[in-house]
Amino acid sequence: MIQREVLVCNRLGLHARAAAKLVQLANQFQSQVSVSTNHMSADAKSILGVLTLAAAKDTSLIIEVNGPDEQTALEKIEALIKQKFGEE
Amino acid sequence: MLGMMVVSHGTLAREFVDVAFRILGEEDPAVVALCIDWNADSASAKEQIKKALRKIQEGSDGVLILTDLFGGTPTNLAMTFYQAGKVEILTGVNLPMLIKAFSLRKTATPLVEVVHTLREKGQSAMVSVSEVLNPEEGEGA
Repeated sequence: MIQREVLVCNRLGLHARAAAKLVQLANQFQSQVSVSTNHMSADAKSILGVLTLAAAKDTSLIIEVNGPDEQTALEKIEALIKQKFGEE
Repeated sequence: MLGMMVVSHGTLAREFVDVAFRILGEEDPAVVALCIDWNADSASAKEQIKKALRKIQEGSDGVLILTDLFGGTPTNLAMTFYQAGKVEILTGVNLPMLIKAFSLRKTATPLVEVVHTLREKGQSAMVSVSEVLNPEEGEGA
């Protein structure tokens, strides 16, 4: 199991379309992926779960990945968030 | 795979389906939006549902019909096609429910179970912001 802290840096935060992109990416991997804020944790493969985090810009997320392809999964997910979900 | 149809008053069904496509970033031609025109008579509206249903039923493991309002004409008409376990109807469609439905229809989950899950998801996705921001103050804060 590996984990990393990533800051939400896009203006709109983890809104519906951004959450959908994150979930689509997470679903490409066999590993279990969870994403957490200070208050809550969600399955990164569930769009409704990710949306309940209500993570605005500058929220710190802990991405936790567990499984055979965890390294690649974590790197790709971190890159997606840092690249502002390709929005800006 | 389950066939799926959203039936509503006005153009609500089309909008619901389009918004869900937009969020998910992909279109699913197998999901049908059926908008019952305000001026349509019930016989032609029923025929419209029947035609769409026949098309969707081909090669599907069952059909899920999501409607806007229990007691409304679109629901009442859809209900005439109800077949336990084969054509199931869930009313009060909302966006979280619809998004969940898009993913569930592609799994091997039985139709009745899908309806049960969607009902729960649709309800639990209603969130009072007040309760999220002030959890210690309780409901209605």
